[in-house]
Amino acid sequence: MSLEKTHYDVAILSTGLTQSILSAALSKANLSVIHLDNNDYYADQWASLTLSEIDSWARSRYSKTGISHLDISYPSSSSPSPSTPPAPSSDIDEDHSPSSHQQHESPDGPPEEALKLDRHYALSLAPTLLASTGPSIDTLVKSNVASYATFRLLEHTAVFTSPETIERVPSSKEDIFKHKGLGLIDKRKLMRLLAYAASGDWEKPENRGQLEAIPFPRYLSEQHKLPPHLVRAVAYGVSLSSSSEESTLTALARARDHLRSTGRYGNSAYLVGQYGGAGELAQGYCRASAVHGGTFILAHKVKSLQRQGQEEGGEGEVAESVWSIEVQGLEERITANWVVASDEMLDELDDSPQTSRQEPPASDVGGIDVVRGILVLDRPIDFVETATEPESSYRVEAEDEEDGAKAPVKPKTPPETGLLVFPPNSLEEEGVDGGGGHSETIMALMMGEGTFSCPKGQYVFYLQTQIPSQSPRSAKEILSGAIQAILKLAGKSSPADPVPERDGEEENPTSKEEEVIPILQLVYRQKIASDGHTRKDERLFSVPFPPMSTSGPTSKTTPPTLADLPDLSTNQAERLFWQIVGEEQRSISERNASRRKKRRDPSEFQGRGGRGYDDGVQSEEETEEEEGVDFFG
Amino acid sequence: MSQPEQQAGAIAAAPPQKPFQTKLVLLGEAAVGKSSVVLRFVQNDFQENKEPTIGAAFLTQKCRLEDRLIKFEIWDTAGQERFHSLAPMYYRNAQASAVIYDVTKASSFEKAKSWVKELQRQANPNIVIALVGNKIDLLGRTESVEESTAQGEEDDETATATPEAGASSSLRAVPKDEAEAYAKESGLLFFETSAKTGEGVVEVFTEIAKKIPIDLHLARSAAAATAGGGSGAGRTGAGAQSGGVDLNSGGESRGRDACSC
Repeated sequence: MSLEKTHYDVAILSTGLTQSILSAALSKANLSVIHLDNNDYYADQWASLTLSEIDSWARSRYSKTGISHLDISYPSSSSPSPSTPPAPSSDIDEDHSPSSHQQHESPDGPPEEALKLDRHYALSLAPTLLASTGPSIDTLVKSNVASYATFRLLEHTAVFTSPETIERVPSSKEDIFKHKGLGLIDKRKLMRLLAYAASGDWEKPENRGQLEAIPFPRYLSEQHKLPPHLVRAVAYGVSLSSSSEESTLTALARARDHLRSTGRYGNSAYLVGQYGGAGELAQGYCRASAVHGGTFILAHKVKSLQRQGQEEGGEGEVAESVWSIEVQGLEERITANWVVASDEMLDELDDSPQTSRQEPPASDVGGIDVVRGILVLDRPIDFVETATEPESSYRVEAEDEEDGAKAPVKPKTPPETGLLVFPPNSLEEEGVDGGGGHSETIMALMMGEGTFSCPKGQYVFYLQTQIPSQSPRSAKEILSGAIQAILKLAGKSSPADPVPERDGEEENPTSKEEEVIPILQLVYRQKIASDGHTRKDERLFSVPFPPMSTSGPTSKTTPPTLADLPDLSTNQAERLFWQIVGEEQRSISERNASRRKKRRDPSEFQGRGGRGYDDGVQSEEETEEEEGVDFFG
Repeated sequence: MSQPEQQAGAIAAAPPQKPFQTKLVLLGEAAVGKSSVVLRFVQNDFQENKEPTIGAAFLTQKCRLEDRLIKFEIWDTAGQERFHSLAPMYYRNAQASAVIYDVTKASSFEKAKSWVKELQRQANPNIVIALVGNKIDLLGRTESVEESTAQGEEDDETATATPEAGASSSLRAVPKDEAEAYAKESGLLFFETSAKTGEGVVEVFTEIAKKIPIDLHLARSAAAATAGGGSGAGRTGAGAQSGGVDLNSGGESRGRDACSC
């Protein structure tokens, strides 16, 4: 295989979401892009993988930097004893010898029956909620990538209150009005709070300082006199605060975004992407890039990246050095003016550019790890049946009698999507098994068959929280409380696979609690890189994963929530885009004069122009697209 | 190749009927004329020296079949086939595929076979696959009937999309009966076409349309709509029906109910 040409404006290494958005934007802006990935799947750290793929991903990650405490098991298929073997929560990071990896883990792969449906799984390495407004959705729509992907609304949000109860979160005006369990006074308080969040008064300089200093939950109870259950619902269910210390300023901004998003596509602020979400979006952006001329090479290892003096000093062009890239299986070396990579792909180079690993891992001291978990179960948490509304104090068991109270209105379809939030320390109080509590918020996103994340009758739960990097706790330990709680809650609902013979005596599924055993359980810790994208060299960027917000209060790094990721990634891509395009602008406008115009089918791409920086040549064919339809808002 | 009774092609004034939307993916080695075949079908046009595909996400064309209106959403590879970098998304929910090769280039036929395998692995199990030998206009006039020329590892000279002016009669490198036999044994539809002259192109799409189990797909997406979850018929259609959200539709309602206050 050989390339049509070997020099490109930009070489992108890794097809992560940020890189893919950037790729599409650059191609659209008429820069030549070559996009490489070592993996044979798209989206790199954002990928959606099948069961067998995630199994080999996990096995290959034991030795990867950035990932630690990884533990994968298939409890439902392993020995009859349901309890998973007490996993040696050894710090996997510490030993790199491949031989010892196997010892950590059950050597068993995924169960046979599950493998038969392997392609029905789209398990995301970067589960995300997509806010209905914001840079991410705008870019999806403007780039037309939205038409490649499919989405669902997040149907339910609930806050965990005890091993027996979850409380549904009223998150919109409509919800609050309709809420039977809320007293009039509470309703008024809530409305006032939401109005304030939406007003933006809190953003005024005279308020900022004060709000910055006060933790949100305290603010809610002191200033707005909200009762504890509403504090919980607002702080963790609406603002998705990751800890009880989150500043009011940050949380109000989230609440405002939440309110703005609610109603755009339905009664929820968030969408979930089907087929695993982010990985699918990355594929869509990559396709958009290809459609505009980007060249894609997957499953070829990038071996080396070096600076090289420009050989063909073209007419008029400043003789400058270029990046020279050696790719396994390609005869020619690829050259590029710019390189945008991922930390991981730079790490895996046989040689690393001299400049790349300069910064010592000093940031470790205050560093944070994301703790992730993926559970696949054979039944959902039934948010409709299980959840109580705040204030209605009865527990789930109490619902037995009042079968008719809520049930008749709702069609009896299991929920497809739901977000269950475990507020900080909510798991310790009731002494959940193993004392597996956690002092930060744990989010659990449930996705069912209708999201095309898993086969019919199964449900994927993505868990996410954070922990200081120095903490010795294993991912399993940190998440165990939440996992136990999910298994217990799921035990209240019947298996989603319709079992035709349901013993008729028991009229309520709640009463036949069963032990639920996960089909897959994967947990790990993932180091968060320092903030922003890192400029490694004049024309070499490395995109950290997960993306971090660069603005906002810098006093504390808080890792992105599920809902922040897509926007942060989009912003990351946009910043890189402008840096590259800004500097290329001059030379491009010269080069463009001689470059053939891009072929374009106006019927397909009407109104979806790339950022038309003024270069005379383009403007004549893009006039119709000029009206504020830039790739990036 | 039986001549279809139905007239396919652009339909100017169709009765107000909701067309059945079908995703069709193109596959085949670079420069076999994938885009040209589609361009002929969609716009009844042919461009000499067409450059590698750039700029079109997918093209659409409606096609009437008896009392049904079928809307093809035709996806081009956008060059991502070159290094085997087609994303799973590409195959997702495709109900039909046209695997195209160049009758004057044996290697493109081998490649077509591997794409068929890939489809059988990645795509819907009941996807309709058509194997299409393109560029029959390049064969000498005498030859165009039926001729099994020498087996063709011989020449790869005509590997570009562009029929050079002088070389308008090349040798057939893929015997028709061989390709037809392969198609038959693999359960594929089989056609030979010329995007340049238009020969056989419309038939490809009408025959595909006939073979798509529309009723099954409709039943499925109806079921999906009521069940609130789909098994993936018709990407766009079913997406909307099975609780999916169309992002492009939300734009206008923005502001109406977007903010609580």
